[in-house]
Amino acid sequence: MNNIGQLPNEILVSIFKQLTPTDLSSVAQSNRSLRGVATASSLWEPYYLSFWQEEDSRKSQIRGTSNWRDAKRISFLYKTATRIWREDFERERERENDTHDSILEHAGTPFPKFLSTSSQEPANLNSPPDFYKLFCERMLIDGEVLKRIQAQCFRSFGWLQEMIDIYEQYGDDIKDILHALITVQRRSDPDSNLLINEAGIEQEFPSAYKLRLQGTKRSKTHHLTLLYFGKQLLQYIQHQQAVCGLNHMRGMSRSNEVTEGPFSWTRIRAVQASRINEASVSIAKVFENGLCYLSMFRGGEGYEIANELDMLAVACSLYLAKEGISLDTSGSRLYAQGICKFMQIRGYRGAREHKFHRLDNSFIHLCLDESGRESLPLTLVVVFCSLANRLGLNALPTNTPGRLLAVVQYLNHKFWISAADDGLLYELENLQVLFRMNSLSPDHAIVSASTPLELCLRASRNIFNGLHGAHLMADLDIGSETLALAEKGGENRVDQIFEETILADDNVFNPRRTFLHAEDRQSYLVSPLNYPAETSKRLKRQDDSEAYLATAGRYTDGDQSPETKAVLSMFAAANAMTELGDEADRNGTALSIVTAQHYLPSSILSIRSGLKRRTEAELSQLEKMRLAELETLANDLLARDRLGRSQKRRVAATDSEEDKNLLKIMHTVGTVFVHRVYGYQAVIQDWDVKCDKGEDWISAMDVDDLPNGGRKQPFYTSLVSDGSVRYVAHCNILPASAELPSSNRMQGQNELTHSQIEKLMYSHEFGDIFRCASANQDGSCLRMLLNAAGEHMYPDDLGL
Amino acid sequence: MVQLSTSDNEIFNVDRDVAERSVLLKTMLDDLPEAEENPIPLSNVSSNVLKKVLEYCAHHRGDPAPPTDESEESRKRTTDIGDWDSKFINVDQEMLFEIILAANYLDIKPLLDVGCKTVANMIKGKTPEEIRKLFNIQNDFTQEEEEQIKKENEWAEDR
Repeated sequence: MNNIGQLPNEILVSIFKQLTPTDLSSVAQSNRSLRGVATASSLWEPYYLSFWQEEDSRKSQIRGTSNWRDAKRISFLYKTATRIWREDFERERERENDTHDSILEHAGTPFPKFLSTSSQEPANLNSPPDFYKLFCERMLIDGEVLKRIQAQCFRSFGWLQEMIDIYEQYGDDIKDILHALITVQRRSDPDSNLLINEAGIEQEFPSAYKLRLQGTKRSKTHHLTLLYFGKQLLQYIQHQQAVCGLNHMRGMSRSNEVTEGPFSWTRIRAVQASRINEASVSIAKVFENGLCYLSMFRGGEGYEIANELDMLAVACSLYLAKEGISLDTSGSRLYAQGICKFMQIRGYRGAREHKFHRLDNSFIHLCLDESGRESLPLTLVVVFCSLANRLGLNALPTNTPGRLLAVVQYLNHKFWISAADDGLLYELENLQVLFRMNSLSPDHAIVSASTPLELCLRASRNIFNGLHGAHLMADLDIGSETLALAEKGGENRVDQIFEETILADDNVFNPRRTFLHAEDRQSYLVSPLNYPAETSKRLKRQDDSEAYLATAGRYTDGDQSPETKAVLSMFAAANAMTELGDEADRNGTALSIVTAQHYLPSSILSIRSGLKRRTEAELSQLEKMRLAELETLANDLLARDRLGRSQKRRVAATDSEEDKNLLKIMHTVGTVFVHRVYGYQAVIQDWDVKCDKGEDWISAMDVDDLPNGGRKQPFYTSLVSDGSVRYVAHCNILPASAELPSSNRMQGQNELTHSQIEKLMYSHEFGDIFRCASANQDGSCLRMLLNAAGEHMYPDDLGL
Repeated sequence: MVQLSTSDNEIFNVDRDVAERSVLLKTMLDDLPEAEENPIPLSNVSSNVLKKVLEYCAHHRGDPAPPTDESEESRKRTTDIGDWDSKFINVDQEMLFEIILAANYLDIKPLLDVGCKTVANMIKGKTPEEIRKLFNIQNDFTQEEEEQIKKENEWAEDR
């Protein structure tokens, strides 16, 4: 026995389980018999599942991974729930010194049957997909996509066309690598030597594999540009998906047929021979998906929302069982109120006045985040219905005026419940009283379920209202019975333990985790969690810049400026109006076009693809005009993209001898400076030979009183580290330098610390013209380096 | 005291709690009380290997039972091996494999783990060629196969 090949396969598998994909790959390349074991699907499965959450729908049938993942995920939820339930039971029995065997009462885990029924033992569990082959296949795609993005870093034009082509070719297969790319490029790099000596630095781009690893550093030379490309492409895909999903909803409402949308993530299914109405479950899924589509305009991901709701439903089932509430014995009313109580404990409640108009409230992924659970009734009612349907209770949102309720039906019971008010119950009589009080007719239509389309439109109107800060709903008050549950000690309840276990770092089914190493606190896929019952171990912050980046969670959108949030929210609402609205809402199209034109140029293409999906007959006269307008805009956009942006030459910028003299003193694009008077830090993004603003601005700003010649000096458009953009006179520019690690001098006024530079780099999306920061060996001449597109735009701003 | 007899017919006398580190032996001793009277034959284990295994068992005689049924998805990729264990397992390759086989046969999970992790640590970071050298195995792929495999694994190149 001196050969590894003589060890039985099961032992080899235990050995190989300790290896990373690259090590496994080496083993697989060493020898035929070892290869047989090292390419076993089970060894690759956990890696595949944690590297890729999404895949192109065209390929999912052949690969079979989506079904497999869901089966495994639900089975993992089930196993975890069972284990925690048993442990809780054991603890309880110990505490109460319970000697008689009451295990029978506790035997079954209260796991919701409605989470994909057959999931615990799916049909194909015996023939798993070949995860080794799939791993290699996906790695190849990821690698090709990265290569194309890298190549773009050295081109000054054609990115838009490249985005279209990449998406066309690979579809949704590329979302995960983009998330990985963005995560890594956004990692601050405390050890990095900012003082790039250009000659000594090799262009470096981490491989697709490396991007998945903890500790992989961002590209030294191109991280800003990669970040910019990654985000743009991801956003482009998300907007395409969202428009496509909304479009499907529209089709559904036309045909009165409920079918699963192109991006349907929710895994609830009515159990056969159950007392629940299957059609109603299907509609409930569409409500959820509708809000997912809206969320995707803001960077949410549908599958994550669905997973999170699945997890929450299991936690809720544990909570209800612990409280002794069951559908059979307690009745549907108490059960529904129990769900509301659970939501309340988890922090879901109606937003108070000052938070009411927060734009985040209309986006379900932000509502699921611990920081956003104080939300609008509409979002809360969808969360409630999502939980209720997973737990076996038919519930749908209603379009009740004044307040949004869920209508719950179970057997011959029918009642209404408010998820925003801790489970206030209404019987039909209550509603009729309420309507009479408000001089409304107790119309059947408004007390029955809403349609997903209506609800989505209502959400869009909420967004517009949020944008206008208008007051939305009068606060009606009506008495009703409320649930009085004895609050048991707040800590260590079985449902909380369950949720914390699932959200712990080392399982691939954590809905907030995509990567191999989740301890990576800067990963924007992992949001900082703050539980009501403190679990601070999850969040460790280091220095300032770390904290700054750590707040940028996928769910919390931490790195988006308020303006970006507003634009994206408006765009979401406008698109929903475009796709779902009737004639009265048709200005949605115009609005989405205008928004896109000004802020999201590439999204012109998503709107166009939405309208193009419709048949001739479906388009109104107005929409045909809009479509023509979109075609023109899109063609313009692509034409400009082919040419690259226009150049700004210094020679051409001067008309007089005097201007020529000004030119000589001018700072270059990319110069980092400190404002001489106000002390803020900023980067020069553009210049004018002299003040280019109107007389009003010049006099309001007292420009003529400035030293160095008032308006007759160079002015610079500057990106400030607080996120603002300012127009700064030459005399106020104090070029900055970088603080050297070795320096033990006092920090000078114009000397920027590492974290200040980091903050400056991520305060704007300026990767379109810059690629990284740089300074001389002595820390002087701190600047942002132009990328290929930037060099093309400012050819005279290079030599320093 | 329990008597164990090896493949080369050597008899070892061991304390029962040491022997019971092996789930196999524990089950035998629990099920067959007379096993205590006669030597238990371990025909798959030679005396020099059993000596090592018993050394491990004696050192770990007081350890709490390892947790059972670790769920597959939440397995931790820990590579750390305790100080004593890593000194203990610092043996030549042949002995290492023998210990792993014996641990597997005798069902001593912690020892099997230590053995597997040790082999895994030997593999880590090595190229295919280095792995062949390490285990003294042949490259038995045809040229075409090798090219095909290399292409398939291109993603692993930049490590």
